[in-house]
Amino acid sequence: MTWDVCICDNETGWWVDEDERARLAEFVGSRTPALMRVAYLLTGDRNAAEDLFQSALARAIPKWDSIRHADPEGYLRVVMYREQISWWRRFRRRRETPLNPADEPVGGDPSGGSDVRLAMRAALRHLPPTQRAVVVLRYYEDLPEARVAELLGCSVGTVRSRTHRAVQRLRELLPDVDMLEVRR
Amino acid sequence: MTDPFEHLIRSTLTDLAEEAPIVHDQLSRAERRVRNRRRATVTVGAVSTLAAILIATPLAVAATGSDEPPPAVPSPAGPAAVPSPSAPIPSAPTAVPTVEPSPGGGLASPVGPPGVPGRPTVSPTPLTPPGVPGKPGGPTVSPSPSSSAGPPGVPGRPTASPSPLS
Repeated sequence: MTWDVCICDNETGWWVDEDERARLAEFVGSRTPALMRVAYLLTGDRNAAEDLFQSALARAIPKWDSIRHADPEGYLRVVMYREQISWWRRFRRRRETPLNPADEPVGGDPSGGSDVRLAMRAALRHLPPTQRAVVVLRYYEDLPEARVAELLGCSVGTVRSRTHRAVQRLRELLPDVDMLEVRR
Repeated sequence: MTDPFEHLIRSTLTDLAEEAPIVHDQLSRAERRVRNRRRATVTVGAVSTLAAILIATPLAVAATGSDEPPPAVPSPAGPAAVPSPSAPIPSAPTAVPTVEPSPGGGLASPVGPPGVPGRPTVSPTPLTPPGVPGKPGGPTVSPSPSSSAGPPGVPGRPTASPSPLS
């Protein structure tokens, strides 16, 4: 670790090592696509995903000195998971009016399997943030329940109940999915 | 155990993840957000401190002044702030000399020479506080105790008051 060149950010007041900032920029540039995918799955909206990622990154920057040798990507993921289900973020999100046309419910499409995916996509957007986070961690990240509970800061029973409710809700939103599956 | 419905969830999530937006220059934006957050934190802290001071100061002053007088006012039970004169200041002879008729009759003249038998003499009344000692042999003029001006004077030496009988 070299401390030869240190710059002082006059606006923020904290000292930033130039090499460390280069490493941080390299880490962000290399891991942004994967982290943005997770953020997009958690939020279901492009702008919200970008905002979530930036918010997590803003929390990680002041702690970069302590997390750079551990697991910075894991730290960012945990921040994004918990930020997504936090009360404050939910409060801010309620004031927004989603105008995404993809949120519209998708009707039956005789063309085949694509309508099933579209219907499932719309149904996923209707899940509340807590259930959606559990679904992403369980079915996209393929994490066990204990690990999901650790990441979200809750108990395994909570993870189980949220998963069960999420799947049940998806089944309610897609009552014809069995029929569509048959038609595929 | 993976049923078809869960498989559908997985495949949908995988497809959805591929549609994630491609963003650039996230670090500088995040740094800007950190700056704004710190600035907001400092501003909120300063405003909160100022508000607390503005609210608490009048309350503290009111709570202090309700039971006892302000500290600037000297308490009546405290030490006497007015120094008492250590030395008595002789008061000016303000009393009107009392004139007693002599047994010989006639009016007493305050300016008359004392000691003349048969003439009215001026004698100090016992109620008069001591004043300036008079000249022996002369008519003494003593201040009246009813005079309210000045502290009591030094007890004067008893003046020689020639008695008409002596």
